[in-house]
Amino acid sequence: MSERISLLRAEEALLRPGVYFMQGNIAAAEAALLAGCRFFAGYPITPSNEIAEHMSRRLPQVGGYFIQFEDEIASVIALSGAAYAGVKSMTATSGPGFSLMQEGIGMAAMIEAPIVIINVQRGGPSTGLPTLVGQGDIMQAKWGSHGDYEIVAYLPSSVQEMFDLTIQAFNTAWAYRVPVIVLTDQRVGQMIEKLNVPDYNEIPIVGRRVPEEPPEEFLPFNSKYLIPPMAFAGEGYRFHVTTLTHDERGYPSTSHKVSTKLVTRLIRKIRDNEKAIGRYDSVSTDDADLVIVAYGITSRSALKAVKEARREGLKVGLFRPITAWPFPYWGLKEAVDRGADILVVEINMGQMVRVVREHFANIVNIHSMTWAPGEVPRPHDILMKIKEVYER
Amino acid sequence: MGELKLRIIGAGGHGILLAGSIIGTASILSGRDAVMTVAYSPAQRGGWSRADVIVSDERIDFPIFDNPDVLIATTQETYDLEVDNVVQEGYVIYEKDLVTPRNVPYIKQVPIPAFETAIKLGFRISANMVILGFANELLKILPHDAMINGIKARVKRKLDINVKAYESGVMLARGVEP
Repeated sequence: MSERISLLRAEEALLRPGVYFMQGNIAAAEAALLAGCRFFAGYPITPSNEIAEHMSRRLPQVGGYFIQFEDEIASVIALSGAAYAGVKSMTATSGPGFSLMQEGIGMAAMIEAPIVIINVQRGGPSTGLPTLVGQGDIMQAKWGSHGDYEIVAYLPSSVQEMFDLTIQAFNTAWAYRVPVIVLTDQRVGQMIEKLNVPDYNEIPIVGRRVPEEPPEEFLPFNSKYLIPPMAFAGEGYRFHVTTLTHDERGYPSTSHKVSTKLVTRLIRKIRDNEKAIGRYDSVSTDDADLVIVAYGITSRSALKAVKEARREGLKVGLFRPITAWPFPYWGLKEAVDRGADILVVEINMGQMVRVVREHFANIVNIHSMTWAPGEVPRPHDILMKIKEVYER
Repeated sequence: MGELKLRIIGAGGHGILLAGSIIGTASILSGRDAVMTVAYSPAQRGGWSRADVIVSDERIDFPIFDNPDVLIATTQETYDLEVDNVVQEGYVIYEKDLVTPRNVPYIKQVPIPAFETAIKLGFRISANMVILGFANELLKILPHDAMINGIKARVKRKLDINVKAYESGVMLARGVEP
């Protein structure tokens, strides 16, 4: 971590290790502070507001800065500026704001600025259901901006994961120099649950990789690295940052060779590391004839449905992706090799099921349980679908 | 104890969310699990607020429920809204002076003079603490000490009178005039 950030770190003002009964959004805000976040830029939107409200109060207490911008476009772009100035930064938003942020997400991906965006998903499309749950931003999180780029998106399903995965999001953003999205939902963000804050020495914190070369030899986008070390503005390194296709010095170029080198590297830094980044959890999948794929709040309902199905003698398991992107397809391979059916349950009209099909269509039967935004399918609803698929 | 689904609902300002968070905090501080979800009526003023709390000895899989084991309602409007959702053999605890109960088969309904008791203590807004003490003593949800710890963790001002209000509720449940 840079000296600059460590100077801003005020351990005595951070959330103390211990057990708390805390809201998911607030747990994410406190986790960001523990991860070293000292700049928040945002624009208010339900149901993510607790994060901005909490950060506006807490950041000044730890030596950080909070700015409410004129809109989400300015907010997300300010995050890249803060990152290049050496300050860990994040924002929080929901569907409509996330749409506005796509331009800045593509920009951060292009200039390899480590930024964190928490998207507390609500019902869509458009302004949709401001106060109610949705999971309709799975595809937008990955494909929302133009051109070819990679991001990482986490899928918390509990208050504990709102905390743990927000810290992880900062670490991944800074390790890979990519925008990272904490893709939660209204139910997980606004529910209040048990949070266990571990001792600080058990919380790994990742900072930037510092340039090794002397400033006069430094190339800010040196392609000898998959993830180039990062110089901060004002440190004496000469560098240029542009959102145009750029060479290793950071200068614009229309050369196809330069384009190939840059875009390939932007993609490869995540794809080559997908198994190091991608995460999943599974319950009772070892002998399952049917594996439910569910994430966020829906995975909590699916877990109860799976337990009930097991009580009734049905061999059903749960696969819970913890990263939406990269999608941890390898975690399903064993079940697929065994010929198990897959049922994807999500609060949208069938988004993650497309990814599952991309990997396993024509190998096993893949079923989709879609659910309109506004409510969470109850364990009973999922159990009915399990029986329908199981008995087919 | 197993798992208990508790719905607390009343007018904005009745301390519904604080009551819910005290039970939740008491539950986790005593090594159990708990989860709370909240809901509000659309009105900015004069509406209701609702706290759905699950307390459990085991890890809670799914935090949402439709039918509470126990309903606590402090107004007629919220009582009417929720009384039919209570599970069979479930409990309803209602504010005696603000709610006229209906006859609903298969559930037990118990009045509590929460506001009257709180006013006697000179601190009307501690009625939620009276209800908490009453409900916990009647239904043996959590150990007494755990609840007191929950109050201490959550209540920032006038702790003494809030604890006193809680203990008045306990005494009412024991049939003792506080």
